[in-house]
This record gives sequence, C-alpha cells and structure tokens, in this order.
Amino acid sequence: MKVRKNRNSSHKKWATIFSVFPGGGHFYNRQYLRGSLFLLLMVSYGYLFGGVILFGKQGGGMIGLFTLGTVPGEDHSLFFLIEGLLALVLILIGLAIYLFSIYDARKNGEKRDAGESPYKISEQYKDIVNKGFPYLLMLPGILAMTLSVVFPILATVLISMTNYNINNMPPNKLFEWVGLGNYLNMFKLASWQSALLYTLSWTIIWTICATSLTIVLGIGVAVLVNQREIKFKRFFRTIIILPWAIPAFISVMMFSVFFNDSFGAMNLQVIPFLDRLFPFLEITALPWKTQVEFTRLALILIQGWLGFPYTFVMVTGVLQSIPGELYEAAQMDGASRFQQFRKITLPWVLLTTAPVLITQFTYNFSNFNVIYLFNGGGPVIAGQQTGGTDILVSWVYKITTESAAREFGMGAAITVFISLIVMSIALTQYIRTDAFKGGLKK
Amino acid sequence: MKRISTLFVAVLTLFAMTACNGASGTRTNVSDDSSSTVTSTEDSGEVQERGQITVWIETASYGWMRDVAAIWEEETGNQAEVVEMTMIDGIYKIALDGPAGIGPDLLTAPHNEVGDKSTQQLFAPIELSEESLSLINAQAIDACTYNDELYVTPLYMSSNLLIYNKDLVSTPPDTWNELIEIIEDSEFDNNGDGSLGFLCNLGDFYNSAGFLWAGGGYLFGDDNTNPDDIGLDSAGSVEGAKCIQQLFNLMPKGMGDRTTANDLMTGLFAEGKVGMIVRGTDVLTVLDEAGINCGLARMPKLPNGNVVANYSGFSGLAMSEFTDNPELATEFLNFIVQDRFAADYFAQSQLVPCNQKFIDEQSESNDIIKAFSEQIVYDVPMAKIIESNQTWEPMNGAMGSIAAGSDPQEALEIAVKQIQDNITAMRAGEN
Repeated sequence: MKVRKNRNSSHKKWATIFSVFPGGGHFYNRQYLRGSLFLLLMVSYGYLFGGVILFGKQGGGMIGLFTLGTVPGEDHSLFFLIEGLLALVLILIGLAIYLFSIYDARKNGEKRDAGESPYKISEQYKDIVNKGFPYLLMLPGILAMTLSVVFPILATVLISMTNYNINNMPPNKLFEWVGLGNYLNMFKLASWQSALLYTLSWTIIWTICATSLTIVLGIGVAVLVNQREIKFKRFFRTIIILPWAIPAFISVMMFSVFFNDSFGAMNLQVIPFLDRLFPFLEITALPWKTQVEFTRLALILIQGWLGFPYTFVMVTGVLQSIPGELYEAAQMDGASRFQQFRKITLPWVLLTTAPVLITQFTYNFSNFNVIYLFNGGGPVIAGQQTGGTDILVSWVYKITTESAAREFGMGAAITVFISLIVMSIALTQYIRTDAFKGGLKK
Repeated sequence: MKRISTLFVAVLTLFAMTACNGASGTRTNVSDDSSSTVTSTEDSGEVQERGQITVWIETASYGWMRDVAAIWEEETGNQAEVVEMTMIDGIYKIALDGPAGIGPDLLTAPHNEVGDKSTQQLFAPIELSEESLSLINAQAIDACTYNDELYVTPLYMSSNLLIYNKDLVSTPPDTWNELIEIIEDSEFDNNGDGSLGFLCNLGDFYNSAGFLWAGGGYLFGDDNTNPDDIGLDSAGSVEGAKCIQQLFNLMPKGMGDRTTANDLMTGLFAEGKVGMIVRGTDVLTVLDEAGINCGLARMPKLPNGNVVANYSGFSGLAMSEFTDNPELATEFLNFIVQDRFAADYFAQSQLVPCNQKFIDEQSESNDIIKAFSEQIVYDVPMAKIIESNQTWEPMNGAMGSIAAGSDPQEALEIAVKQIQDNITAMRAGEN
C-alpha cells in the first residue's frame, strides 16, 4: 500500500517519543510483531534481572557497589563488589537493548516519512531474520566472552581501586574505595617505589634480552637450515621443534636442577667438557643459582632455548614464500650471500612477522612460568622486598598469595599498570610497522 | 535452514539467560552448609537425629579419616563427608567458601595459623571434652591454643630429625664436635665425587631456625607473641648463625639454592651417597623403598651444649566459623582423638599422632617415635601471630647471604630491618 509522501509528517519524531515505552514506537509504526518482540524482551529482562540489579544475591547490587558494605561481619565487601559489577553490566546490556529499540523505531519512522510502508508481517519477519541473523549467531560467543574475559578484567580494575588487603579482609572487615590511591602509592611510597623500580627495570631488561635472543636464534637457525646445501631438512626441523613441543613446565623444572651450583649437570658435566675443548678460555663452575647475575643469565638462556622454535617455524614458513627471482636478480648484480641476507631476507622476514614478534615481547613481559619455576624469583636479595629475578607478574603473585599482607588491592593496581604498558607498546608498534595495513614498505 | 538456525540460536540464548538467573536464584540461604538434614521425624527423643558434616582433610591423613568416618557412622549413625584437600588450598578457600555457604564444617590447619584465622573469624573455638583433652599431647594443645581458646584439634606433629645412613655413620653425633668430626672424616669427600657427610637445606629458614634458637636467640619476645620485639639479631641468634655458616662451608655450594636443595638432598641420600640429612619423617617411605638402612636421631648439640631446637608443627582439624553444626562437629572431634585410632593413624599416614598414650607406648619400640619424642622436647613451635608470616622471606635472604659468606651479624640485622619495615607497612595498610 503506497502512502502519499507527506513532507510535514513527523513519524520519526513520534516514533522516537513513543519508544520511551518499550515497543511503543513500533506499535505506532504499526509494526506489531517487532513491537511485541521488543516489549517482551524488555519485560522479561527486567523480571529476570531486576532483583539482581537492585539487591544482588547477598544484599549487594548497585547499592552495594557504591558502599561496599556497611556492617562488618555481615556484609562481604568482595561479594558486593562482584555483584555490583554484575548489576552494572546487566544495566548496560539492558540499556543497549533499550536504545536499540528506540533507534529502530526511529529509523522506521524515517522510512514512513519517506513514504515507504513497513507494515506487512511477512516483510517484517524476513527483515528481522535477515538483519538479525548474524547478531544472533554471535550472541552466545559474546555472552561467553563477556563472562569469562570482560568481567574478570573489570573486576580487577575495580579491586585495584580498593584497599583490599589483610587489614581489611572480609568477611570480618570491610574494605573501601580508595580511588587512585594504590596507583599513587606505587610511585610515591618509598617501600613500594623502590620495589617497583627494581622489578620494572629487570622486567624490561629481561623482556628485551630474552626476546631478542629468541628472535635472533630463530631467524638465524631458520635461514641456516633453509640453505640449498643442507640435506635432510625435515630431520633438522623436527629436532629443532622439540624444545617447544615439550611442556615448558617440565623443561624449566629440569633446568632448575640442571643449573644447581654443585649437583647440576651444567657445572658437573657441561662446563668441564667445554673446559677440555677450549682450555684457553678457562671456564670454571659458575654460581648459577646463588648469585643474581648468573641466575639472570641462566634465565635468558633458558628462554632463548624455549622460545626460538616458535620463531624458527614461523620464519621458515616466511622464507619459503620469498620469491626466488629476487635472489636470482641479486646474484646477477653480484651480491654476496651476506648482502642478500641483509637486503632481501631480513627486511622481508621482519616486516612479515612483525605482529608475531611483538606478541613475543608482550609474552615475555609477563612470562611467569620460567621466572617462578626456575628459582622462585630468587635468589633472595638481602634487604630487597622482591627477589633478584622477580618480574612484575611474579612480584604481584608474591605480594598477593605468598605474603602475609595479602595486598590484593595493590596487586590489582600493578596488574593494571602492567596491562597498560603492554597494551601501549603493542599498539604503538603495530601502528609503526603498518602491520594492519599488510603492506611491505620498500 | 536459516530460519531454523535463527530459532535455535534464539532459544539457546533464552536458555542461557534463564539458566544464569536460575542457578543464582536458588542459593538464597547464605549460611547453608551441607549441614544437618534431619532424616527422621521429630519424635520425643526416641528416634536418633542423623546429622551430616563435611570434613576437608589433607592427603596424608585421607585414608585414615575415611576409615574413622565409616566407624563413626556405624556407631552413631551420623555421616561425615570426607573431602581430600591440601592444607594450603583449604586455608585459602575457607575465606571465600565459608561466607558463601559452601565451606566445610571441619578443615585441616596447622597450628601457626590460629592467630591469623581466629582474628579474621574464620575459625571457631573448639570445646573438647575434658577426657579428650587428657588424651592429647600437652605441647600440641598449647600450640593450638590462642587467647585461651583451642582452635585446632591436633592430629599429628611434625619436626625435622637427623636421618643417618647406618652403613656410613655408625653412631649419630651427639655434640657439635662429633658432628664436625664425622663430616670431615676422610671417608667423606665433600666437594668431589665421593660420599657427602652432611646435607641440610639451611637456605630455607624453616630448617635453619633451630640453630638460632639453640644459640639463645628468639623470634618474637614474650614467648613469640610480641611482634615489636624481634630477637633475630640478638647475640644468641648470631651465635647460631655462625654455626650455620660453618656448616655451609662444609657442604657443597649447591645447597644454597633452596628451591632444589630438598629434592637433591633426598635423592642423593636415597642413592646411599650421604651420611646424614636433616628432614621430616615424611621422606622415610621414599628412603625405605630405596633400601637405605636409615636411622633416626635427635639433632646434635651446638658448641654451647644446647640441642638444635627445630621448628615443630602441630596440625589437625579446625572448625569453620560458618558451620551450621558445631555440636555435631565437636562430637566428631571428640570421637577421632580416642586412643584406639592412633596406631592406625601412624600406620597409614606415616605421621606421628598427637595421642600421648601412643607416643609413650611406642617410644621404646619404634625408632621413629623414639627419636621424635626425644627431639620434640627441645623444639620450638612456630609462632602463631600473623606477623610471623613476614619473617620467612627476609630470613631466607639472610640465610642466602650467610651461605655466600657475609658476616652473620650483618645479614641478620638487614633481615630484621626488613621484617620491621614489612610489619609497619602491613599495619599501616600502606597509608
């Protein structure tokens, strides 16, 4: 049914106003199916979650989120915080649906203004199914991700703004909001500041050294194995993948024993062997695990061993995609093997694998396994709160679970701090290398 | 196909929404444990009320606990649900599970947690019967008491002992000089490939504390209750630390690495290459399987004549503050501490029970109990107040420095300063 174009009609405006009541705008537009769907959605949403939003399950909810409990012993601050967060998320989702219904009615009102008639039921149904299908398919995935990823992250951020530690430990006591207090204390209070700077400096050094070693080894070995002259390429590649295939957990624990000063194979067998091979170097048994510098060296070496197969595999794949004509042309121009490597292979490989290499940096920044399993973040430095090889994550682990002070609030703040560093570095590097654009800069 | 898929996904989402709300909606009762479900009608006391409690027991004692729970059910009709859970996990979980209503009635806990947990109102005071109290070792009761209330019913006690290889060491050393003599014996080549005389993971303060106490030092003043008075750098402690340094010099350098030292030590001993080690009785099963002819003895004396006073630990069952059924739980506790179960406990768990009669009877015939009962008299229980948790890391650091050769006095002073800083920070709540 065609309606005459009426330039003075204000269906759009009325549809929007009526949509303040869920579904109202659609009923105004005579889209009864759509309208009833939205109405049903909002009503059932309110019924299901209304209680949770307001009161939570243990008296929390939105109110609890602001106060974090008023009666110690009865109100559990942590539960209030989490329920409050849940209530907040539910409100946001409900709001999103509500706004969408208003927008939808408005758009249909627009269409009516333009003279189209969105009335037929079958048309409406087809419209919903076609437009809504992709969203519906994504919905379970989004729900799962919200619950298991977004929610814990938000909870951590919220906890970082409280003073949740042993002095304010629920259920006996309440903890409170301190806003950015933890973040300020991290940098201002002498005890936290010194520990933070010490740990941060070693974390940065560790990340750079370990990742660089991994990358250099990976690329170097990949290029070597890829040379024309090497036979049995498959055999070498299989062996080289072994460090990556064995669970890192086990490998690191084995290394922990391997590097023991007196009983480990390193000092008992490997070093005497090297000493016999190169007597002029005068290599002696080293205090791998009792002196900080050597523990750090051992850790970097171990991470190099553990991490380079990954880079190796990746670079091998990339190498095989470099067009052979480039090398032929270079050879005809008289370039040496090394020049070919520097001018063709290296830039190509680095640019193609840039995103992955960045993830290697971020991975090592928070590489808890290697650090903690090798020597527990030790050796313990006299007078230092953190161990000699503690990185930021293992330090957070210690102050939250192993220390008597159970500094959950501060631990969460440091975690957020770590995340900000990692995210900003990753983002800037992505943008710099134009990796998202996928191009190869000449 | 598209329509069906859409419908399917829509229904799935609806299910998810209702499920989320449904699951959370049922748990409305906050303090709901697996508590007493009265299975019989309310009669005038003729029908027995059947109750149920949940017990979190750690691995070593699990088999025994199940047996005792079965006997309890037989004799009284009450059920005890026994769940295996390590002490560390249980103590960590009780803070969250208890208030949420899914915690246990009883859980395994060490004695040095009573201060912390009772202040946080996670453990409830236990009122055992007079008869039960008389059956338990007095030291154990004392260690598990805080502010005149008993918070843990002791099940077993632990302490380091001197374990020696009878094939390499004929008589265990009594005095310090005897100890040094055995180690420096030409039979033992301490840094080469031959047998080693003595190994102990002194880098871990739990093992080396005994030397400081024997030297005359102390942890906290007023019998380990006053955290403002730290005695770790007193003259007595320094004397003990000097003995530790002497031992470090006689042991291979690798003993300074406390993460692997325990395993390496036990492994080497099981191969028959070590004369003496200092460890708890839990390694004996491993050593017996390896076929080593081991003997146990109390620790040797320091040059000043005091026996090395290792840390002693008493562990047992604590009652959760959130239990619905304290009377039934107490009844269970009174039941399990009876004399008749002690022998079985030792047989199944290889841990020394706190039952006094058992210790008295066995101290002549059983080597383990004999050595244990000799040593436990000198031992110092770990401190119960929460500040004691702040002492481990700094003291481990001090032990590391001492192993590396620094002056014991200096190392201890640095550690004490750090402990004081930690305690101040903890008290101030970082403000």
